Amino acid sequence: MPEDLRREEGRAAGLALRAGVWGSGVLMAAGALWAAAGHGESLALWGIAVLVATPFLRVIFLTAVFARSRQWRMLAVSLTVLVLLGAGIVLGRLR
Amino acid sequence: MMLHIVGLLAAGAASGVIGSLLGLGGGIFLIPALVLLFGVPMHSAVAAGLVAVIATSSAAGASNAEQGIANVRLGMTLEITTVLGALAGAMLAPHLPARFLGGLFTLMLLAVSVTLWLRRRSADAQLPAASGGLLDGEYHDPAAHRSVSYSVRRLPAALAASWGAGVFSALLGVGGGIVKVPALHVLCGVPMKAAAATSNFMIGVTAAASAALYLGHGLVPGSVAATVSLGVIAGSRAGLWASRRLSDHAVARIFAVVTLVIACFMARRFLA
Repeated sequence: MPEDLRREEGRAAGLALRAGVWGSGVLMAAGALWAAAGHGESLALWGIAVLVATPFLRVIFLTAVFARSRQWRMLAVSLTVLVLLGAGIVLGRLR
Repeated sequence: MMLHIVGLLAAGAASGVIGSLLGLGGGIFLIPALVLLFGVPMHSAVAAGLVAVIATSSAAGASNAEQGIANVRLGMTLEITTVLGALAGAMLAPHLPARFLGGLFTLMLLAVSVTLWLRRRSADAQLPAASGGLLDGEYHDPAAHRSVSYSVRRLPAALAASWGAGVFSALLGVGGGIVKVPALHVLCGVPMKAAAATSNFMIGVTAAASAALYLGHGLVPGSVAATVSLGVIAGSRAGLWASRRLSDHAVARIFAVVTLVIACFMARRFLA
């Protein structure tokens, strides 16, 4: 049973990361060509935004898996990470 | 123009290999390369370096997490103290002597390099096997043709090392993986490749928090960062391919050599 859970967590993290890498990869490739053709950088920046969002998506996916499988200790850990990341961004904006 | 693009892809690919094979962000090589070879301004190079770290962490992390080589629960737990360390480092930065810290960090890197190089093959055979703990890891190592299971010893040491990694990365712009990987391996009994994969899995989260700020302030150089990241994604795959074929011992030795090179970089930067 614990082995199955661990595999499910790995799959959830893998799914979030794979989706982010493919989505951002396509946008970044198109964006780099678009910029090289002289149309500005906005598409490339969208691709980068998707890439930057990917690790957050991974933490959110894992938080969901921990909640669904009622692993309270790991749920507390992943929620703490989310709160700290949010705090970091807020503090950084204030500075 | 064409040469420029190929160069950026190649620089990205090199740091992708380092990231997925050794669990390092590779910023210490990538940022000077962008500044010196491609004329990217320093703050843009730092932003592109952060984006590159996210790319290697996500590209290699997907496969490492699915195969259990990256220890997802351990990584998540250590992310807490890493982020706390990064916040502390960012607040302390103006009050600390960077030269002294850089010197201290360089000495530590030399010690890490020597320890990993001299570590005997047999040391890994004595690592504790999985014992049903929350943070145990298990995966198949294709290079060794066997499945590996382990339990994490001395979790407080790993938490402390991750905190230090966060502080150093906020203060010096390096030190995410290079502190965590040897600590996980030598102090906590995590096999070398699992330590590298777990570090690689973690560094994306810390980098994403900083990269979001750079992005929000419009400081990310769009096409440069995108081109480098595409190279990183390709390089990460190559690093995974190499990792499947190398033994833990070989990866530890490569890590020792790269640490030595980084120590020389740091010595030049802070002691000259």
